Amino acid sequence: MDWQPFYISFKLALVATFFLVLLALPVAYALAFRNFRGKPLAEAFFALPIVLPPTVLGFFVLVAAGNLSPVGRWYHEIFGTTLAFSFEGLVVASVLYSFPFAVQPMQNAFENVDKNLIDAARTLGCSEWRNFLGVILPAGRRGVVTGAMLSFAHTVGEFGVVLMVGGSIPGETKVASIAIYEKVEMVQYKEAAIMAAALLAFSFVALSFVYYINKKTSVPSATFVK
Amino acid sequence: MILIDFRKKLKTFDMDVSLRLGREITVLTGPNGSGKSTLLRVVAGLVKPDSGVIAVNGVTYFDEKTNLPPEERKTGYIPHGNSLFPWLTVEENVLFGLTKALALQEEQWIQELYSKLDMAHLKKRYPGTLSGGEAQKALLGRALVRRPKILLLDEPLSAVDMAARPRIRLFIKEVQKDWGIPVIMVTHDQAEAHTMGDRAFELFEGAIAAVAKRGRIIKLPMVSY
Repeated sequence: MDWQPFYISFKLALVATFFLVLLALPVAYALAFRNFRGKPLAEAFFALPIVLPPTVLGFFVLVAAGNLSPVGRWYHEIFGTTLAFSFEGLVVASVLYSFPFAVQPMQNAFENVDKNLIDAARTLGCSEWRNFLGVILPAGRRGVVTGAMLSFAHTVGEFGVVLMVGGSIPGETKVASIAIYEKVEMVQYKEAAIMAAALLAFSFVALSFVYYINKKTSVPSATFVK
Repeated sequence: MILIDFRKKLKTFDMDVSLRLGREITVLTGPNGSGKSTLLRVVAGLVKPDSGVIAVNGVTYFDEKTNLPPEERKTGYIPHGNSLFPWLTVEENVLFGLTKALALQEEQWIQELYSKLDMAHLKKRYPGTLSGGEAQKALLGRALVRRPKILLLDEPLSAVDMAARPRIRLFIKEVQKDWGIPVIMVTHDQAEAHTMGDRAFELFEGAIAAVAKRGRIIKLPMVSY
């Protein structure tokens, strides 16, 4: 049994989740607390990957990563290689594909932070940045953890978008879901079944972990004891 | 001297308030939605007026050229309800507005606050385990630790049980008297307004409808709603 695709899947999920959390936090904050013209358009744009078929998103990323596009040419000039059919290209595609799964739980959590806490912190001398770190992030931590875990699990389960952008290069872009697909195509059902069961078990454990962490990190209520 | 003179267009009415206050306890009364809390939030810098002047002890917080952000106003603002950070202990809440260096520098002042509020034993407790009176003490400690120039209290005793109210009332009076910190306090409780206030203003639809001095506050409300 070749477990390397699983290793690639988890490595991809870890790296993508790192960038997703980094990028989703400021976007979720802006969507939760800023009012600007075109905000509904911005929200729709960031939610697009939920409704787009993965192959459509994969197609656009593939075109953008190719040497014919300015982005692809810029990347080639800097790194001397192409984004398409590379692990780095998979990371970019995964970040785009899982972005709403990271942003939306965080945005919801930030919107639900008690405004009294934010106001109190501001009058206690906290700058916007300190308010974010000291109040909004701790109060909304459930949403941040959920966003990170969903991003991780969603990236592990990707198929269409990684196939379009990364192909199936063993040791480089061949992830678990593609390996299962290939095993089925080659009528190697036993290996496919073992891999599918492993992915199923992982997904169940990951989601259970999300619910467990959510329960553990729930912000205690500040309601008075009567 | 505190100057609160501003206009603000709200959804249901336009606020137009002009007050000159001294180092005293000023009570704001009036029906729900009359603009009492908005007035406190304007002074704290959380709501921006359309025009006017807000100045405390000669420092302009707001005028046509200035609009100091809340973090630079040095107000001790306690919003209605429990605004303690539930994931922090009482001690961490009290020290929230201070840097570590400042907390060390202000150690004596912090201990004085703990002792005056009789809350040293609450330091390690979390807000979810506090009674209304204990939480209010922690809120007052947190608001006062930064030596504010004015204390803004939005219904500070509404969640405090009857037995604990006299002590909190006394403390607020002492804050004003001993440390010379002016207090603006919103309340719906006429008896509380009467016992606490040096002056009371009754708000109705964003304007001052009636004024009463100490001893005559019990006669409010003068406007029938």
